[in-house]
Amino acid sequence: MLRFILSTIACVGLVWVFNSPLKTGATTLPPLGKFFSPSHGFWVNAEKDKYLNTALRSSDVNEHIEIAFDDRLIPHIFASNDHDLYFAQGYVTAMHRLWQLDISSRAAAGRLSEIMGKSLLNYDKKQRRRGMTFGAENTLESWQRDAESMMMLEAYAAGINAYISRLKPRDYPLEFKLINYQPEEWSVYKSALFVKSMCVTLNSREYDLEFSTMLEMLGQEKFDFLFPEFNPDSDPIIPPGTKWEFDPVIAESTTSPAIPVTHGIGKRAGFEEEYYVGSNNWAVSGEKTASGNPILCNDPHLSLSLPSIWYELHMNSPEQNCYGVSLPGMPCIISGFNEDAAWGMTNVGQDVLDWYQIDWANDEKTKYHLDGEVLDVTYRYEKIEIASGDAIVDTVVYTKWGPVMPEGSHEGLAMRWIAHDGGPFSDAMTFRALDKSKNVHEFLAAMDQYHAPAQNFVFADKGNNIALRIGGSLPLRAKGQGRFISDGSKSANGWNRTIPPAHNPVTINPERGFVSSANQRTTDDTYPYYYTGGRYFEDYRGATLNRYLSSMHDITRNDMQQLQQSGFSMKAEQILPAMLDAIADATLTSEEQTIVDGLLQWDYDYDHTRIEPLYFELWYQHLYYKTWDEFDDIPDTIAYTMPESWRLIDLALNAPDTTVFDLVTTDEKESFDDIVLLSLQEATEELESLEPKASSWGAYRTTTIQHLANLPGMSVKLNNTSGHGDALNAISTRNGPSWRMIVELNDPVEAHVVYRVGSPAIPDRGIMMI
Amino acid sequence: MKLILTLITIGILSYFAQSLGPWWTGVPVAFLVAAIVQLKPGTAFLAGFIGLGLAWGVAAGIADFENSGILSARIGEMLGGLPGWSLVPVTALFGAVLGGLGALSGASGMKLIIDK
Repeated sequence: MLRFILSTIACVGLVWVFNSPLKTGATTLPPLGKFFSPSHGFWVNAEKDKYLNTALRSSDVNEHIEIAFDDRLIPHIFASNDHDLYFAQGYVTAMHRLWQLDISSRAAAGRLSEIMGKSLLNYDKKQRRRGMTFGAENTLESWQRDAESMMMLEAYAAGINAYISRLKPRDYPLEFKLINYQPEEWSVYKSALFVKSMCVTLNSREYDLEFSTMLEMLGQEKFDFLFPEFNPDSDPIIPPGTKWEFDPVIAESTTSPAIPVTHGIGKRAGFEEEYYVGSNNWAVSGEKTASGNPILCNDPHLSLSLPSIWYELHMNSPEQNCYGVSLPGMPCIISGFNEDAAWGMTNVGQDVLDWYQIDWANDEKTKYHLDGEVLDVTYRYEKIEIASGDAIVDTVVYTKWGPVMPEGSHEGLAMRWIAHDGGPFSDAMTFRALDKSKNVHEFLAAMDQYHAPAQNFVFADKGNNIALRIGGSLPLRAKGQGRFISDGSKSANGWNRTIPPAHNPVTINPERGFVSSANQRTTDDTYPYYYTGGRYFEDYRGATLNRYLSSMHDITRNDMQQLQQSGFSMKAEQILPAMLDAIADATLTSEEQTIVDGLLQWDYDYDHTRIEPLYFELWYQHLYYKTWDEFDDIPDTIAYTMPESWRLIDLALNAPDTTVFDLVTTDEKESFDDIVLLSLQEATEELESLEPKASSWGAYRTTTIQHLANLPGMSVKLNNTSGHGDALNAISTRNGPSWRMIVELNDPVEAHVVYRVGSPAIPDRGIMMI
Repeated sequence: MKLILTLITIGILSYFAQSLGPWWTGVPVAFLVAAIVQLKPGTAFLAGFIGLGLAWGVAAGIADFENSGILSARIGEMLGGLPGWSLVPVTALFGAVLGGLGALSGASGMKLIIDK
């Protein structure tokens, strides 16, 4: 009797324990029995080659769809109509990327606490307070005004949901089992949320807080000296001298004087800078190629993640036949080509997010002043569910500017962000129009409908047309507007409309025979609208690209591959000779001499097999921080920023005796030459003390392709990656070529693509012909 | 002999049953088989232990082999640096303990009824 009771209790108890998530300190383990069970747990996810050519049947589909998977597992969809095509795109995206879809829409909406608990509550609050749900609702509304957009978005959602409805818990992707939750139905609203998260990644950079504090600390004159708005030597995206064939609209707004930051603003918190993102795209006209046909290249350098941010596929219907990458969460191909044309994009450096100080009308902060009137704030009640079963309601205050931050570095400031606006038209159609585009006129028409995130779109067609057009809504600003925290008591201090789409910068078939962009400033000073931004992307890649493309002719796809992989740094080319010059007469130790001798031979190429890139990197970093040692004393609690590299280089070459090179901590007056030597000594010491010792650039700098949940074992570390953020091969520790494409508009179109999805060291590569 | 036949029966039945039911389906299978066969409690435990242990271990081993050990290596690292192959015996052990206890309960329960 006792044995029966004991063994039964033990047995049932064990099943119960193994069926429950286990908390060990900060981490929660999945239910162990369920997780290890070979019929339900992670073993089910141990995939073998199981994707054969499949035929899909579903009641949501009008006609027959065929999806063939090639040897790289890329789906080729053949559908009889466009509704079915988008349905199938949703279906295969869910099949390969269901967890990514789920987690990215949850992260965008601020719904992570719901599955992962309290530790993510602050993240969720941040998302709600920056108006992600507000912006997504406005975007959805603009989409709903267009039936064709909704056909496409709803078919895509139905495809995802058709896949989900077929799943039993044992079939869930691994991450659902690890975190122990279930996939949720997709909706068009979630696509809108996804677009908002792309706007955070691409269109939310600004330095308003830092510039305001710096202006207050330094005074106008010194601020202007250290932080000029533009690099006068910059090589803009639109070729200088391009004529603007429109009558500019006059900005009816004004520029507020910068609001002195007096209310104890601390170091930026909650809206930290995102990872460095740097992308390249270009197209060369047939006059410059060996085949006589244009070649278009796209190389978006987003953060490298697992799963990849991109999803490669081929979409074929009677209305379209295109190939390229999509973003899981949105229908259509984003960067790709069809039988007649190719297109791709890089990020626009323009600032589209400003901060306004609210002038409260009462202590309770329920009323505020605007244009002499007293207005009531409005509220959005953001309910955040927590995995434990609790929920909190975060009340977010809205003014006419946008949401007001209740705490942290931006307390009392309202956010005016272009991504909160739905847009005057349904920009979901832009990519559908691109996917079907046959010529440059259709491309330009598609651009007129695009809202956000703003991008530099490059295009080429078989008629030997090449074009680069800035797509997206850009604020129509008064000169100087939006650089600093502004006075929110006058609505004229903000932009009240956007630049008419037809006035966005564009270049079509320029005389130089190529178009290109690498995130740099869009135009020269002749463009009649005010541009602010650009600081986030220095100009070296753009200028390098233009220099190479100008000198090239008889270009082949192979030449383009080499250009995409170029590790050449113009920054090094500009400053290193001056650095070497500065220490030419100095007495050096043998270690220092080794560095100098190496760099005398260096061709400014961040080749992973060489050690010179590391020498330069360390030496330059010490030089940078020694130059701006005036900033050392600023406490970490204050939001500040330092001048850009181009400013240092400009001063070093043209004003080596300026006081910025004088060290504040010494009595002597140092010049550029003096601190170059000091930096060399410090760099040598740092090199000697490196643990483990680095024998090459590739051994020193690793690049991690990180799993979206940052789980140990699921990320991939790449050693021996060449390139640098200043080079065309813009690889950093977390960013790199997330997708590469070279398309030659021959008959048939020929293309090379690189798509990093998960293979441990060597990127997948394939040739596609249609 | 009875032991071997029982453990094979538990193994095969649970292998198929658990692809239909929840993950712990092998436990009631071991319980029922041990009860019907009327093994001694000690032998029953052994039959369940080996039977379900094998069912889980073999299934995991096949999955691991067909996947070239890619996933188990990653899960192993996630679990604090276990080598990937070790997850196969760990999986077998989970099955074994559950199967053993299930069979033991089944056999003792049946003994209770018979002894009455």
